[in-house]
Amino acid sequence: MSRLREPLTVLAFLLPVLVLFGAFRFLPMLGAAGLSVTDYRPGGDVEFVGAENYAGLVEDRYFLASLRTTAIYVAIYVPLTVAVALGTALLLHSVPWGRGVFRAALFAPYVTSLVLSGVIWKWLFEPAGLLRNPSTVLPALAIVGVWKGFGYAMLILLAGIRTVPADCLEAAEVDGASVWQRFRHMLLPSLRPAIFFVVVVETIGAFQVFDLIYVMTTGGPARASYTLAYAVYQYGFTYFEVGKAAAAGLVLWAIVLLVSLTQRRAFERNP
Amino acid sequence: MKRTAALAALSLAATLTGCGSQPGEDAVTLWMYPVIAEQAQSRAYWQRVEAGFEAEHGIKLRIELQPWATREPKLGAALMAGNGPDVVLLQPDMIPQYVEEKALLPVSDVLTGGERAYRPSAVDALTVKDQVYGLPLYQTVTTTVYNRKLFADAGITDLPDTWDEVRAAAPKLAAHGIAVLDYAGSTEETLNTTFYPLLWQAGGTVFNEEGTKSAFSSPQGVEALKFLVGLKAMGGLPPDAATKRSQLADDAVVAGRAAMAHAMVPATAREVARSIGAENTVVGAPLLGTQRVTFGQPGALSLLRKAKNPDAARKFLSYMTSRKVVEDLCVQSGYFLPWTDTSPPVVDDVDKGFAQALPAARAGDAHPKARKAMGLLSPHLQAALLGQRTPEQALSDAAEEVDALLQKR
Repeated sequence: MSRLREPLTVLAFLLPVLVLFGAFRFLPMLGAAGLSVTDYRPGGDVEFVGAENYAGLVEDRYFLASLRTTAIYVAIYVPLTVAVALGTALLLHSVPWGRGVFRAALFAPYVTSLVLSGVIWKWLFEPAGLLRNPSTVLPALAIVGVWKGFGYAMLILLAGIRTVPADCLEAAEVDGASVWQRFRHMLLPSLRPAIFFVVVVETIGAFQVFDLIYVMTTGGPARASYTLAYAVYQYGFTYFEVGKAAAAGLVLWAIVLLVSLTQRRAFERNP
Repeated sequence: MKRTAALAALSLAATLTGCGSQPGEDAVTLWMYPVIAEQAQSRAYWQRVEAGFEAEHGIKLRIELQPWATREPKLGAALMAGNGPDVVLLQPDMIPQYVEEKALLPVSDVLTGGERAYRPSAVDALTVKDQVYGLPLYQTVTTTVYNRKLFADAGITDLPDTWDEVRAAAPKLAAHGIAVLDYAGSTEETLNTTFYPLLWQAGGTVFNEEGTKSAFSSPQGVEALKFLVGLKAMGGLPPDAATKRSQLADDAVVAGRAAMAHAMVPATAREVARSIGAENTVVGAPLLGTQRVTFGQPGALSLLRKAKNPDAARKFLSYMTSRKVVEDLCVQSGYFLPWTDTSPPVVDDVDKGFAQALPAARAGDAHPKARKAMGLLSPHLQAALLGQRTPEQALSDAAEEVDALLQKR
């Protein structure tokens, strides 16, 4: 009994989280998988349609276009977020005083309502017409996304920077290492796990971008910002094609999983 | 161990707390929207309805006031989750889709129970395959609203009443930095208040008579889109016309950046009057293309198939559509009565102007896939307004997609 006591205690304390995870993450995922092979109607009628919804996605040129749009957004957003977060984390680390104030100020956009800030950004972009032009709308959205999201990545990277012993950096400086050399050969290798985490989390978030699109462009102009997550929303809640929405959601899940695993392997190969 | 078990049970209980209870089976739940714009007035009216119905039938009525925004997604999600209301306010072009999704019950028996002479166009708009699926509660109408001062400043004394006159006024106003016509081309906007009135004014329709093919790419449709694109080229539309929303904050007529709107609702017209002065606000007839027509529809109460107590819900529908309750609603909301045997309540010049437009009102082209077709057409209209496609190309591309949609089962 005493051997079982510790694992049981751990399990007991984990149980609430496991229940929540199961109820709000795992079960909906299973439900979505089930719905994706049906023609579920809001009235309650349901019919098994096999892979018809997936075939419908392949034939839907706007779905395919949404994959490309999402990939472009991810390609702009993720490197920009990592660069801005890393830059601000390094600056924050070197600030001799008032670090807490700066950190709070830089983190503020992360906890700001996107609905409010989205409207203000719309006004800011309006004179230049960035959201009206199909070729500038994605970079403009990525800028807002970075502004909103870099604070979280910055905190992770800042914590990573702090794990590098200050005396080692000082010793390298005394030995004549330049700022770039200290960054490239000392800080960056130490930050690899943190950067990996940030890249994975931000990539997942970028693939799922929805609120930004919903508030600022509603997929336009002329579908130039019609992303995968927005397509899922439209299928499900505008057109009531629940099965197709579930299928698109699972495609999104599979893409995110694949990209995350690829990123992990890439980081493992180049430690 | 006991303490651990107690703590675990407590944390599990805390986790599960918040699972709410379902409303009682004997209650009727209504999802209503802010048809009465003023909040205190709205609250007082719905409290009267609740009290009146409960006193008359002894059945609990639960009115949930929902926002207009995200209305359809929210209702769709609730229906799919099986926890929607019993009765809901719907617009005519939503009804065929809900009927096709088998989400509604017919209410013809409740409609014929009264003595009122409903507007025939309203009842037609709520009828699918000879069954009525909505009970008219009020009638809306849109029409043309002008800022007389902006036209006068540009040297135009006769307000444009036809498309040709609007075209002629555009460059004169553009020279003063003013768009002649406001237009909200966001894909989130219903085309019923943007492109479709122009399509109808040109003599076109969205679908063919049988509902088997699209009809908006007809010469009339091209003419309507050319009208918009032509105005855009002359500086006759706001710069963000292709993407802007029709929210009050974005309304160019209210802000004095556009001189007129072709399908404005009374509430916005009142904001215009507040903003630029009643003396400068003119509510005119719908514009004349080849015909004078505009968008106007009944707001209707529909009974959902998953209603927990359909009999009680029917009693409520009967009560809610009684003459006294509807007349009170129309007085409070400023909307028009859904029947023709009583004069519409006219309280000011804005009302008078809109009342004159009522006979020209069309409730939209009813089709189970009307909303989906709108979703497909909107981005192509944006592309034309952005100059990416010609009006012919844009409408032809959209027609191809809509026709494919209509051919699906």
